[in-house]
Amino acid sequence: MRTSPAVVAGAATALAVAGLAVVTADGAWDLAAADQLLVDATVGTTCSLMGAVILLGARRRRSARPLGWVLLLSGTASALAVVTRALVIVAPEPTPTVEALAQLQSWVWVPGFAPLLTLVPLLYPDGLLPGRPWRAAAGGAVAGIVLVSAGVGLYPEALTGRTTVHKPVTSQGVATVLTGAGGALLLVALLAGLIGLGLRLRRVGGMQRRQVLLLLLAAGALLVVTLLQGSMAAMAAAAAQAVAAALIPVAIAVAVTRDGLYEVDLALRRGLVAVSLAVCLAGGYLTLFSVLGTVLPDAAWSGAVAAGAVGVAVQPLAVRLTRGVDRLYYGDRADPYAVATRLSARLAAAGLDVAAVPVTVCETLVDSLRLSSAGLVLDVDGGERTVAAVGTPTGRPSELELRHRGHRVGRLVVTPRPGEEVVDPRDLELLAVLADQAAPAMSTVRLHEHLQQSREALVLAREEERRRLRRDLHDGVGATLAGVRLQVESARDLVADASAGRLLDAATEGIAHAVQDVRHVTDDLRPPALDEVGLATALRLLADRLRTPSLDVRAEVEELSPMPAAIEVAGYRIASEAVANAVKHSAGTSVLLSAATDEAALVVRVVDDGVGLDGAPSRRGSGLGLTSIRQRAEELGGSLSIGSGAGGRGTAVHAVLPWEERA
Amino acid sequence: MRPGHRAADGRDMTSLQSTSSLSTTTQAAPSSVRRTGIAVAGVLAGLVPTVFGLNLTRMLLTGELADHQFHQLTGQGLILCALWIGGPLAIVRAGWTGRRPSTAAGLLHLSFALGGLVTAFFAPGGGLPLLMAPIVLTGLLVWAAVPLRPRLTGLVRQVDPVLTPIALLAAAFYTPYAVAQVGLQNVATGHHAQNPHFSDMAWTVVVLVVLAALGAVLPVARGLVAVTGAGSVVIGVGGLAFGEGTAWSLTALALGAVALGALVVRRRLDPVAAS
Repeated sequence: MRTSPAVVAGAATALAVAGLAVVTADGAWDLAAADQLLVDATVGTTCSLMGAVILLGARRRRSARPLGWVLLLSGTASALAVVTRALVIVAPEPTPTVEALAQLQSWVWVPGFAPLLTLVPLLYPDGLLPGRPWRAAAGGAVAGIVLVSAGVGLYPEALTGRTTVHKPVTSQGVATVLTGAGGALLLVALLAGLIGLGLRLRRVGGMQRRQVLLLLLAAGALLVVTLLQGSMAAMAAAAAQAVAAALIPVAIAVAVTRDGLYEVDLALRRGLVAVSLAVCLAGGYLTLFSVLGTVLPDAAWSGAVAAGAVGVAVQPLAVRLTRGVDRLYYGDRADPYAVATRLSARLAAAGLDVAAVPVTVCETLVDSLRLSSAGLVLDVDGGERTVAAVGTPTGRPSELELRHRGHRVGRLVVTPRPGEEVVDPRDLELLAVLADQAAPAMSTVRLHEHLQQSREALVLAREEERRRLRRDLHDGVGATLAGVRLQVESARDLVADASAGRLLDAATEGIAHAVQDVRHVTDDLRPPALDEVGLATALRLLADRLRTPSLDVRAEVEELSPMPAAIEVAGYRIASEAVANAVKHSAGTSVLLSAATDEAALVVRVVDDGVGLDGAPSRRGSGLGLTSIRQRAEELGGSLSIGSGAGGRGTAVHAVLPWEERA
Repeated sequence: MRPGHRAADGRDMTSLQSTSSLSTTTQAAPSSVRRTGIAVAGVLAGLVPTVFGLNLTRMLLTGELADHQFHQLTGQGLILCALWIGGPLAIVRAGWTGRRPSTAAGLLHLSFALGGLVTAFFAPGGGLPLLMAPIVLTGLLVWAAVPLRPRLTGLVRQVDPVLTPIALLAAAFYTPYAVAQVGLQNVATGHHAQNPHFSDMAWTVVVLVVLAALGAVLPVARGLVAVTGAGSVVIGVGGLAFGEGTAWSLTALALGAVALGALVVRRRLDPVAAS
């Protein structure tokens, strides 16, 4: 009959716990010999469990089995060391059995501890040696462990617990030779293991590199702590070594669970359910036993009733814990209603930005189903565009069409959970339902985009038309009227008749009014400075105009690239409003207006050193102005942000106005 | 990830036009009368634990009643005061701004009050039943004063496979202790008969256990496990510092650390539940 790794690991864990319980029950933790138990118990439990997990999970990846066996045997040896050492420590007198146990405990920790710094680094992460030459290192590690075990086993050293116990078989000479030879081999294997890890680190990248680096750090920490053992207080040294030793299986566990190494999900899930259930039952039993002990006269009755109650709870608790573990791994796959409700609630949340809808959909899917990534691609005129991508894709992507009212809106692209190669069909079934739910929202996003693009086009066309109209009025009608006025004034000078003169004076005055009206119209169409001196100079003049002795308004404006009329107007209006706001409300001493063209966008920034938005009650009146300039930015597809200035002081208004054609 | 940002793998992504700037959410602030009521109820509920807490802190710092420092820090002291004031304070804060108090705050308050009533029932000596009267009354005032009360019905129940074992371990560890403390209170004489040190300790650990159990079962109350963890850490540290049993104190410390660690891991594993 084959022994299951889980049984071996369970037995090892039980031995380690039993050893600790023996020492606790005896109150022997104050004895110096008990310190080492911490290290052995840590290795005994963590390594044996990790080894079992790898062996159970590595059925499809048989190469990983050597690493699993090394960890399992290491844990088992350490657990044996715990229980034998504990029994020797608490023994009241040195009987032959106790002496035999003392002999066993003196060496059995070696095959428990030594592999952590030799064989494990050589075999990690895939269970294969880094290359053929490393076979010698692995062989040397095994030989070294055997020799050192024999050596320390024969070393004539007594163990002092409740009493001093001597080993029955000792030989200092043989022990010295064996320990020396074995120690040399272990040292070579240790160096080889670390070099092997270093070589793997150079060869691999991405997730594998992270896995190797993690173990390298854990092994380094254990090595350092082990070398520092003599320089620390005994209890602290043992505690530090226990923590460092635990880092090795923890590093492997992180790689197994987070990165999907060895594909051990099933084994881990079952293990987690089993451990969780066992602890729950034990905790529930002890709690009930304590409570019942106060009302029932006999401890046997308390135990029986508690056991009965716990027995009744086993099945329902196991079902709920299994669901909980499944939820940890697969999210809410088993509860489509919960996922659909969550998606609906997030999409229906008050104040949700239309732009955030695709990301919200993707985030909900990734969070709810633990997918590695989700992305949304929107169909646009003659092509498609990625509008949201959440997570880091791993594995083979799957696509689902988003259809609304019979028309394709776009597609949802998802990748499987970390460690899985493809998206599970059960996940795809749920994703199809969610895609149907998300499709109307995505259709709305597309409509919103169309609307926004139309709005931008309208604004651009309007401002171009205004510029043309202004030029025509200024250069055409305005110039003509000015010429006519000149002619009428000349005619007035030549006419002697008083009546004709009055008429010509009236005509001159009428023409002057008409010129004035035309100027008003052209000025209203567009800020005149933009056409007269250009945007850059207009902004500098704006700063000059608003500068006062108590408020230094400066403009830092680079040479600006040619841009559409709408961008010029919006940039100028935003700068005017922001600077005017700062002058009126900031209560500061300086305002800096800067403008620059960045690729195909105008960037305008106004920063003051005043009291900021929160500190200026009077600034509430500027709300309309801020809304107005925000709308100016947004109607051109731009953005406007308002925050604090440098060092958290004052107010900074930052506008970006793009004018490139969007794909 | 927000619109306009780059995906984690570096893929280019087009940003969409934002509209959120134009939308605002409003929240009705309570009337001044209501706020006055909330403030009065809050002061009444928080006055005694605040005074107790300050006094105990002074005693801890000055070394007064040095043989009671463990109780000053834990059961009759700062942990109890924190549990006492924590629930009402959170409810009052939410009520002041017109928000509905969290379910966790409501459960913390109820657990504290019910834990005290149960302990007072089993250990009536030392004046604990008398103390429960103002606690219950001021608690009721707080709940009556706030415009919205914590939601306690229709809660989703999900047994957490990581936190449930920890809660039951806490129960297994602290229940015998609570039983023993109740027993000690009931046979106490002299100073301890007038002063409910032992039943306060029982009360404190019972509340910690109940909070852990609620956090393990209710997703909306997962954070309560942090209260248990922190409380257990303080009990462990206090035990080590003030001469309680080393093994017992270390176990309490380890239990608290494991609870806090498990909560952190749990939140990383399940961001949905955490949110």
